Amino acid sequence: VSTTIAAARTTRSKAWRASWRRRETRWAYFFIAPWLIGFLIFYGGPMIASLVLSLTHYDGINSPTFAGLDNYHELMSDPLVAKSLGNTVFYTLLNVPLTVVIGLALAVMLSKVGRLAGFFRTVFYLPAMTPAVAIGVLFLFLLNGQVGLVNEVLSWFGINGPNWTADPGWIKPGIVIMSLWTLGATVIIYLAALQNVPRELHEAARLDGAGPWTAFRKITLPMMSSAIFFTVIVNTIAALQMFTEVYTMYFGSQGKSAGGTSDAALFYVIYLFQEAFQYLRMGYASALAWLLFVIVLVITIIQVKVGNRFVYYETEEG
Amino acid sequence: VYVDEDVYREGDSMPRRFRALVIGCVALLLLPSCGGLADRWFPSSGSGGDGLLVSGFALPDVIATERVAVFEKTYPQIPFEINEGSFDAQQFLSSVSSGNPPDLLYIERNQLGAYAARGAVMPLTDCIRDNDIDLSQYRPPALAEASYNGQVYGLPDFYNITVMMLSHEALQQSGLPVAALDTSDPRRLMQAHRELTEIDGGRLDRIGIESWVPQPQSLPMWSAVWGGQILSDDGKTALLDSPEVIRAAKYLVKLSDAAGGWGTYKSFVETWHEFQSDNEFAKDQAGAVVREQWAVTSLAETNPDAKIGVVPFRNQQGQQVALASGSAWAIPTGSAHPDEACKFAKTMTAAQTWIHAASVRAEKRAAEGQAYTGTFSGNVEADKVIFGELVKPSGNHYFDQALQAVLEAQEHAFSLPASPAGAEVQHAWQQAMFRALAHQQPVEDALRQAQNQAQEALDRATKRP
Repeated sequence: VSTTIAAARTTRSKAWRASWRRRETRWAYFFIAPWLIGFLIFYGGPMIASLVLSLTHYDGINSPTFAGLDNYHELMSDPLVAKSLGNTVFYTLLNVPLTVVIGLALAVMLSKVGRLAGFFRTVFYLPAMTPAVAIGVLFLFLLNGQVGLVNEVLSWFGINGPNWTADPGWIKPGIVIMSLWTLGATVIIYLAALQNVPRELHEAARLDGAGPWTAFRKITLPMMSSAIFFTVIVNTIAALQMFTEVYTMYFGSQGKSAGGTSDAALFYVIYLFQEAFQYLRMGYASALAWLLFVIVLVITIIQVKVGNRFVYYETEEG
Repeated sequence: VYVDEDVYREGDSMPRRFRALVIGCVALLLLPSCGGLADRWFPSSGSGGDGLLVSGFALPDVIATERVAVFEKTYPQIPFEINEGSFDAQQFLSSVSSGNPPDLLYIERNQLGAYAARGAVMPLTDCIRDNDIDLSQYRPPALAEASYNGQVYGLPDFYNITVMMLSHEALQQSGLPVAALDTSDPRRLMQAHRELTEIDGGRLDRIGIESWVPQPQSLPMWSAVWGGQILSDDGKTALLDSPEVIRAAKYLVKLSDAAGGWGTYKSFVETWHEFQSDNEFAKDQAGAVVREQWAVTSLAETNPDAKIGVVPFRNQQGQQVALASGSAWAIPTGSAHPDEACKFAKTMTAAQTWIHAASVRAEKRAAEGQAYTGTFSGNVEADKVIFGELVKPSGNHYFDQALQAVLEAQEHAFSLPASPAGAEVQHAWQQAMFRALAHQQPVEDALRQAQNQAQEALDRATKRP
């Protein structure tokens, strides 16, 4: 067996060297070189540095001292790690499915609009272009329990809205509402995927007597599955790294002037930031960063493994 | 396998033309890091150049610009650059890590302890001795807050104290005298709060007393009313579960409950337009608010006819107490120009500098037809001249009385001790207050938990080599 593996390695190595004789290969590497160099300098280097720092006591001022796995042991028993991870996972579990469902519904509606599709595409995408800090400040007002527009709208239906920004039980749902403001990017991806669904399939289904819902379920959704899969992964990673809007609302100067908030809005990356730059515990923050990296990696691998069973790629046969 | 015969020669692992292109690109990437080009393309943002680099200081008004002008005039031979903006811990740590810190730092005094404990700022012993700086000119609470382990780490700049601002109109409407807002009589104060608070169908229209919870000044200030403190005098022991602090916290929860509960209370305060003409007093949304004294002068500018007053905090013995805070000038360890930095800090905090800037401000206000309501410096001598000579009656006797109350309260101020883990202690008690205010946890349990967290952070910080 070892001889076979060694032979395979040699063959692969020869093939790799031979590939360099091809002009296309060389130009391909040349064109991706800026990204590769950038990745090594701005991502690879800092990642290795943070891995090393996670094994030290480091305050960002004095030289780090080796701490072994102390930081990792500490984060296992830190209640704020559990709290902030819980908050982040709760938000992700609410945010991602809602983004997919509402994004899909909007994309389907937009695909039926006809001549005004371009206008509505722009309108739906505009919020995605709004700076995150502005969104945070805006929603602090919109979600205000006393005079906010959200509760005003709820009152039209006889609903007495909660104190979204003050009641610990409603802070995270409020943040989810805020995040849905920027689902324009997901809508645009779905719209593009919808337009790629072959019309012949729908026509054939109609001839066979399939209704709109059946056609959507049996044709549109499977044909869009790769786009949905992509947005689920990307939105999950983004949700797990949520920072700017929540920090602006509850931890930045705007939040402080409003009196700050409880740990209900303490998301994982915010806690990491606090440990690093407010409490000067860079080594511990590095360990927190690596825990998040592992969590994101594991979730993504699971999503890819599970997703591959359901996702249809156009290059697939049959 | 396709081979490009033009550029590939036997024995070469990489064709010549392609190799030349790669080398050219790499050279282009590396060139900027060499000598002169590096300096021209990527000018250093930290110190190390010829000039003094000042960080964390903004120039929003004449008090700032005129004081800088005094330095320029006094030391024309010292070039300097002010990196405008408030203190940014991330930026500062990055500059320290890269061995390129700014020469002088403008920082809140309550943050100094953590940096002093870690050696990121230097004791000013040499600076004070070599430049003949008279420490007695500074207000003692401010100097104490800028000192750690018996050494001075910062020269005090502004000086703020926590007071209670009140609306005479709201008190009159409720038939209450100013004396009802006396913290030495908590029962009467609570009664006044209830009478001033207006709730209409679950909607809060006016808060009786906005206690400022959970702002950083709130619990330390209210604890002092019951004779307590949240930190020991050396800043290394947390006292968050002491009976006095627990009593203060319980009182704050009661104030919140009497105004509709924490959710309603906080949502209402979030709607206020503080520092604008349609602020909480103008819109009759507050009977009294706990704020720093500069809110009084700010209000004098936005609402010159407002009928506001100031009452000091008093402890249970009836003595005045006020929590002092503010900013300071500190010199980072590794500063390339520590002597010039010291001269800058000395000049900025000198009595004559403050007086000059205040004079210009007073003239400017007079030219605009407005009254000058004062500048609260950390320099005792400067304040004597500013409030004794430059500040004139405003034409609104409510403001003039409020100002006198502030000046009197200044004489009874205390400060929190510099702490190596001040930020963590503050976070611990603020979170405890949130849990208690939202009735997620009883006050005692919340503060006990905060005490453990704070002490753990303090122990960790003081054990640092």
